[in-house]
Amino acid sequence: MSAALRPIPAPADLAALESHAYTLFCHAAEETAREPRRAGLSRPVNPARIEAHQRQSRAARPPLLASVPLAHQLWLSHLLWLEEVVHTVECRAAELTAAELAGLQALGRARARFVHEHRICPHCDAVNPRFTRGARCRRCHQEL
Amino acid sequence: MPETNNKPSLLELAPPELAVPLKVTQAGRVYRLRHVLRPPRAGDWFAYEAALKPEVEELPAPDGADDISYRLHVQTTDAALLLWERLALRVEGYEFRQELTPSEVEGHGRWQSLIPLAHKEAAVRALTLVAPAAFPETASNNGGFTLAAAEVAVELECVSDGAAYPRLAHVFRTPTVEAERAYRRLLAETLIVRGGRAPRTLLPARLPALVRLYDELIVRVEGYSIHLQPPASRAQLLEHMDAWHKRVAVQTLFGDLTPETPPLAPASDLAAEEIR
Repeated sequence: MSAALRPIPAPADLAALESHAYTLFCHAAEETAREPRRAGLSRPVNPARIEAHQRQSRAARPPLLASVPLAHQLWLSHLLWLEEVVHTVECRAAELTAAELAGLQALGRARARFVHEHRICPHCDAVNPRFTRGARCRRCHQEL
Repeated sequence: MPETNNKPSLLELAPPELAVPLKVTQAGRVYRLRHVLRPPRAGDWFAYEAALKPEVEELPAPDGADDISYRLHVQTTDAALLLWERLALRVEGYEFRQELTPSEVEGHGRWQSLIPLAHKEAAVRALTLVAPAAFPETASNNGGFTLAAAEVAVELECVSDGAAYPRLAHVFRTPTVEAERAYRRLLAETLIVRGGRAPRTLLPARLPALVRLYDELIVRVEGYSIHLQPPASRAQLLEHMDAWHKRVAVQTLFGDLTPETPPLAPASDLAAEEIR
């Protein structure tokens, strides 16, 4: 069996996890740019209408991102849940496995890179790449 | 192929043997056969699950589309064969060709090798016929969601020894965050194989860890018996409970832990309520 075809535990594939976490963050940012502006609702807010729209958006979205392998998506999903829980309930570092700790650190590095390379539009809250020419928001097209 | 009947009674966890009735139709004739098996132990189920070797192949979307599909490969035949050979004690309803001499039978090897593979698979499938009991999805039927509950009951239904058991209750203590973390970690730990046409995800054996979670959380069961008596103690229950039942009960307890995706609202409704 060649090295390329040897199974690797997904939690140990840290470089790929970090890179794919960054891809997922960018994908989420692009989603915000595609969403309609909340501030621009032309009618009184109707929760049922908003929920119906959100249902439609969720159903229309591909459940998984093609460029990120399933094994990495599963582990990243676990890490994102873990990150949330660690900040919510008391959880000692000793209760995490080495793979979880290393994974959370990789997630942190990917997020830091994402924050460094993106900025939020002050007009509509969409996330935009920081280093782009023209400096106009991808969603509302106003100057950033 | 397995036959069943409704026999309301307790499911025996320590039977001396299990008889799986099979109804086989071949060349217009119906044969009623029985495979008598040794009740599987945890080690048998662990070997079976490991032999399934599930893996998910990622199929690239045509024309560079963002969508992707997955194909699950499971070695069900190999795993069933392995388990059947570990458990088979004898079969009933079969006969040798009349002209077959004892030495010819010897020449075929053991009698087990003469049993058709499809029959073996059907007998093993009958052992895995356990699933969460079906409840209507309406909230009024399920009652309110109990807050701060000390215990959570999971109900399974199964078919065993040709009889249906519609209500097998497993009462767990409410899982802690730590138990939920262990379960989530278990589902998320996979292996990746790169270098082929598309990456493949190998799903490692999870049964031993699921059994440990079950043993940690279970309080009592209903609908089961051990030597015709309800389990006398928790220790006795842990020792005799079928590992496959433990697996299904734990999976039902935690669910898939993903938010439910509501069905898409009818297009006409959305058009009328479009957000601008």
